[in-house]
Amino acid sequence: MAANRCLDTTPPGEINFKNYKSILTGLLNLFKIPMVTQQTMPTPLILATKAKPGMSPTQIASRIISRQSEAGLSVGALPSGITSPGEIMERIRIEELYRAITSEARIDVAIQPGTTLQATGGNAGGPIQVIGTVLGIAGGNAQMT
Amino acid sequence: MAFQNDKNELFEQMGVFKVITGLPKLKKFNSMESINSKSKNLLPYLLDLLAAIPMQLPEKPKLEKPEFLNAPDINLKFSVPSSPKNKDGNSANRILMEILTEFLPTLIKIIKEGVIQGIKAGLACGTDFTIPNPTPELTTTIDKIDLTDMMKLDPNGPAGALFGDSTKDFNRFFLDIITDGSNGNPSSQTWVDRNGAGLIQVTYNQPTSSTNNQPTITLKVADGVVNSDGFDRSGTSFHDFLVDYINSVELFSIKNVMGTMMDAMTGLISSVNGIGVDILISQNKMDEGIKKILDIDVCTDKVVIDNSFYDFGNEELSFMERNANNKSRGISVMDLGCGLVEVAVPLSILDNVGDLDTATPSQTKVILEEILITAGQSVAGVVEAPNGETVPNINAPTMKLNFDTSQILNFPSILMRMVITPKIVGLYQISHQTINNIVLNVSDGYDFSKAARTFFEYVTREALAALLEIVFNRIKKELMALISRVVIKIVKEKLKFYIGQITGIYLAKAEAAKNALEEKRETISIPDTSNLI
Repeated sequence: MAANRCLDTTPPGEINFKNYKSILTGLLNLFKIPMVTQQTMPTPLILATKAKPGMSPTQIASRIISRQSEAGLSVGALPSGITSPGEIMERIRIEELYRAITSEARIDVAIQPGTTLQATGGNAGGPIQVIGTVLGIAGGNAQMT
Repeated sequence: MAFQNDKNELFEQMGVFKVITGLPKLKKFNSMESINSKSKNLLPYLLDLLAAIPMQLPEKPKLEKPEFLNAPDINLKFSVPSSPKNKDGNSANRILMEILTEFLPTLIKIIKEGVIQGIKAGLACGTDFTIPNPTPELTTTIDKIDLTDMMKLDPNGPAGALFGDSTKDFNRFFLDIITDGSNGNPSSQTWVDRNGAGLIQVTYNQPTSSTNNQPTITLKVADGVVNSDGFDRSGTSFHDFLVDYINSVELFSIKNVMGTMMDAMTGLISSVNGIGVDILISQNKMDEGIKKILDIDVCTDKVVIDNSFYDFGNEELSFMERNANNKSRGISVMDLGCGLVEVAVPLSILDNVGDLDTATPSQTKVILEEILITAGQSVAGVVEAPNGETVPNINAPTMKLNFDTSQILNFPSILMRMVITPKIVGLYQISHQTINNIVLNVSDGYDFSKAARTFFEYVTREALAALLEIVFNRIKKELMALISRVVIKIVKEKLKFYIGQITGIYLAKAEAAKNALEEKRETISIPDTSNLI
């Protein structure tokens, strides 16, 4: 019985060089970069973030415009004296992004169970000290500014 | 279209990565023939892709630091795979040299396996059987085994490049028997396997009136009687016989490859040995048949490979005839990017080819480079100025690149030319006799490619697959250098912004503390004493 020549017996993960699809897929897979996980910020530092000034669309736009020269673009007014439409557009873009982030974007916070809990209270028998963990999932909201 | 889209996407991805790493953008690639081509032969496309990958990556680009972050510099140590350097920057030349030096043994091994599988697939539906008793035997005219008139060549002249040592090269062994026989000496010898056990007895039979005064050749599988070593192959596995034979022959050497390459390009050897135009036309047809086979994928294209598949139109036949006529004069008309030009290489190019048999790897590289440089200069070295003087050709780099590329693209044909010689055709014929009890009635390579189409197609695809693997691995190596730079950039970026976040918090705290101090100063009216210091 003749073997089915179109049956691909190449082990998974290997490239069948007699099959053009396998070669192209192999090359395209090279460009799939694995995601690198960002390091988590320590909790005390997160608490300290309230000192941050918050975003300013004007500051962001001006920083972008001042860095235009890195991309080989000129900065400042056009030779005719009018403001560059590109720079105006940059400001509009950042303002709209800022508006969307601060007015429309929603941040939902979920706190996983297991957070350590320490409480004091009292009753007729005297003061009570409680040490334990949160059992349920806590939720919350946040606002970017 | 998905096929072309995938090819296009690869170039787009590479373009994006090049921009990210600060490399010059790719040239417009949407008009590249290899991308838009529907041919399933990916070799031209992969060579274009390889040429588009930067050979030299620039210095590590310094990541600009956003002012507001004011983060400290990070001195991260990552190793980037170095991109191989090439002094002339010709990717095709590099690949050609790699094929000829590093990868030839692998290529030979893959094609040898392909020959065994091809014979079994074409004649015995892939199954094995036992060699009968009496052992198979065939007697036929020489032209049924020597389909390319190789046995008419003078091995002491330039054609010596196509032969090897008679103990390893069955073609030379066969030629010696024919030469002895035609000189009137009784000539019969046994081809033995690597352990010295007989495989095939080859006998030259003098011309008789019953053979139209043509000499004939008898091939008989060793039975212990015809062969003096006494080894009997009857009752043994046919597969083992094929394996023993294939392992015993030198399929081709680097010397043979260079000789065949030069001959295929301009008819260098054929022209000085007076090989007929009809044989050269048949070789051209065989080459075109190979291109047709490689252009399709039998599993996805609705094509049946039958006799009509190998038919050619009048225009194609006329082109092949012109090409064969040119090669019989030792020239070829090629388009190397500057229009059609007549190309010829000097016979002296083969002067050092004989040394390749005994050369060390470094010597081999030097000899090969000399041959390729001479060939390149012959096709693109100098041009004649209007005043009659010869001046360096300004198109030489382009022509050289196209010349080297055309050699790689022709490599499957070059390999098949070395396969369709007595060492493999003889084996195929005796296998055909064993299974079908008849000798395949073919007289040239083109006939053979049609009559033994399963075998021919099988080996051709194996040859291309082996080449694709070599080019693919080279592309992978080059691309990894590019991709790793992007990965490093992403990792550094993440770390830098993380540190920026932390720095931002401290800066904000410091600013708040400064403001609080100012407020306090104003409230309790601390005099400013800085001017007193």
